Amino acid sequence: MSSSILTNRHDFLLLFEVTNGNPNGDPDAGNMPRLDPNTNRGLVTDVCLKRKVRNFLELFPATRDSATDNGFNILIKQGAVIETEQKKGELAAAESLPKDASDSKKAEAAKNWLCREFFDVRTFGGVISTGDGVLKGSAFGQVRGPVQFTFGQSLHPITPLEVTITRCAVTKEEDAKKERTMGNKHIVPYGLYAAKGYVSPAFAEKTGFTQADLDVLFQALLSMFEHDRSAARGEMIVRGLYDFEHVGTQHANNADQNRREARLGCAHAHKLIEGVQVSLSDEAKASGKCFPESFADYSVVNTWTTDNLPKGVKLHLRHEGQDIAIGPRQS
Amino acid sequence: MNTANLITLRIWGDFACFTRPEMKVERVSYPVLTPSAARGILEAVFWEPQMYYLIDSIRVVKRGRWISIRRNEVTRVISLDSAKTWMHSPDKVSPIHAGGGAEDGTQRNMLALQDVEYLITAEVRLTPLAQPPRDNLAKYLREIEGRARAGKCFHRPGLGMREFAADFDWEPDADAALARRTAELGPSAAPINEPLGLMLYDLFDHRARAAGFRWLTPDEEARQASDFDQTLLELKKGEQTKRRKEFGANRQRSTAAVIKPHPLFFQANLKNSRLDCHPDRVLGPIQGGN
Repeated sequence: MSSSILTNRHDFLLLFEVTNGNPNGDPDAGNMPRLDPNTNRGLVTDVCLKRKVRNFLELFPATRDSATDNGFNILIKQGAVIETEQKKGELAAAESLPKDASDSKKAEAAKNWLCREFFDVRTFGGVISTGDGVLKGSAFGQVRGPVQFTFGQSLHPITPLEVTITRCAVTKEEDAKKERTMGNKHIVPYGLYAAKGYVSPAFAEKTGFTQADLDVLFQALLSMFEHDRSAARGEMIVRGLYDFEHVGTQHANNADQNRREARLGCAHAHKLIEGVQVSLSDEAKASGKCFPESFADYSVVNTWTTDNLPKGVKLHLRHEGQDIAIGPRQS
Repeated sequence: MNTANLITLRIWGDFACFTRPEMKVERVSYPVLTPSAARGILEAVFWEPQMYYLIDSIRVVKRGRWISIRRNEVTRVISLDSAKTWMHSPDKVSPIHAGGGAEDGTQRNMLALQDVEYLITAEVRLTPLAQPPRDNLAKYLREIEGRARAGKCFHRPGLGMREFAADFDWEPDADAALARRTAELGPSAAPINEPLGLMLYDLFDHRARAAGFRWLTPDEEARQASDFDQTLLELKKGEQTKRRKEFGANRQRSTAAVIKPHPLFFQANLKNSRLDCHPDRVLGPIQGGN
């Protein structure tokens, strides 16, 4: 694993599907699947996706090579997850500062320690209270993480259903004499969702986010639904993780210039992401379907090849394996 | 004002929330992009202490639709004091509990915009730190254009919030771009004429920022510390510690004076889909105090 700070910009597209489940309940609508009332397309919030990443890492923390390397503890935990007491001891204590170190040096050391120990602070950022009157609420108290997710949106309108179930285990004590009670849950029969993500190296430098951390994040994104199974969630599967890495347009000899270019990026993110085209498959159209019933009704076409990918960009097909990539274009 | 120093970027995104300061807990967005959000987007693409932006005008291509989103958020922030304790005794770490029903979690609503597109026109000015001929306006205009055309950015810009990422592109002419996009969008893009009332301009007086700043070099910081130590030699030990603490809290890390947040408001008026917001025209003489 490489422990070098991330230097290349990444833009990624995550495609995931739900079958007979509720990917993200809407507290405004009695926990119905989130629905955009203007277009009837389904929504999954950024916080929902980040929660899955955090929960996955709590279950499978990446191995830490040494106490001075980045740790993989999670600071913002889900209330329902049983607290993993045994992991607390693994936190490494900080190297000590001289007693008369200034307050701002101590604050900086504490901030760096938080970023080093907690994967979620290092990746997604967080708000730190400084207690200082003037600076309270200012950018000083903010750790901006290099990774940002957008909302996931379904590619077609979804039709949420309410299904009634009978429960053999009653939930209320006064119902104890009844053998069963009725309950209900909400499902989306089928929906394919797309969410975008961006990784900014300028913030990676601030929080110490490394290439290894990014690999861990992609691993988490690919596996997060596998370990989040529940009756409510139905079947959720990641169908695509297209990771556009900006590597620089110069010859490999010119590493310095390449690093400068890769930090800012080499192409428009929206153009790269639009190159992955998702539409109804020809078979589905031929059989007169207006909206898809399974992934087989979709055709996902990656139009990027080694020849037409913008210069200086490498496309990793993370869902197909660790080292499967297209580009960068050679000339 | 020199119109040759104007740049225009077209920006768009799926969602946006330009939070009104009077409703910031359960966020409610302004109906259109604010000048300070526009400035943030430009600075995400390119910024240097030798220059700064004044937002000249905002043209609304797609106004967007309102959408209400309720999410789980956390109420607790990470306490720096706790972190100082945790780093020496890791067994004391207390995580933040988020999610439904958890002690640190809460549900908050947000009234956001969906499917928006704007044209930001800004004037680029130099700060006193610019050293001509090396730092000149033509160089910065070229650099901004190059970045915007190639999709390069220092960090991903956002439409009011980081999860509402923005895409951007260069436009050589704002009026032509508005006409082109209006024609492409068809009847849904009728010109908007609407007084929007009082809108947040920015969190500080732009003249306070016009001075620019640079971080002190390690040498300068060391010199500052050693100069300070000289002043302590004659004092008693207790007094020395006290002064040191004060010094640590007030130590300069950049050449800039600390700018106290000072919110400025202006009367926002959409005329033919254009929101005029150059500070020289809309703010008038800036009043002191709050």
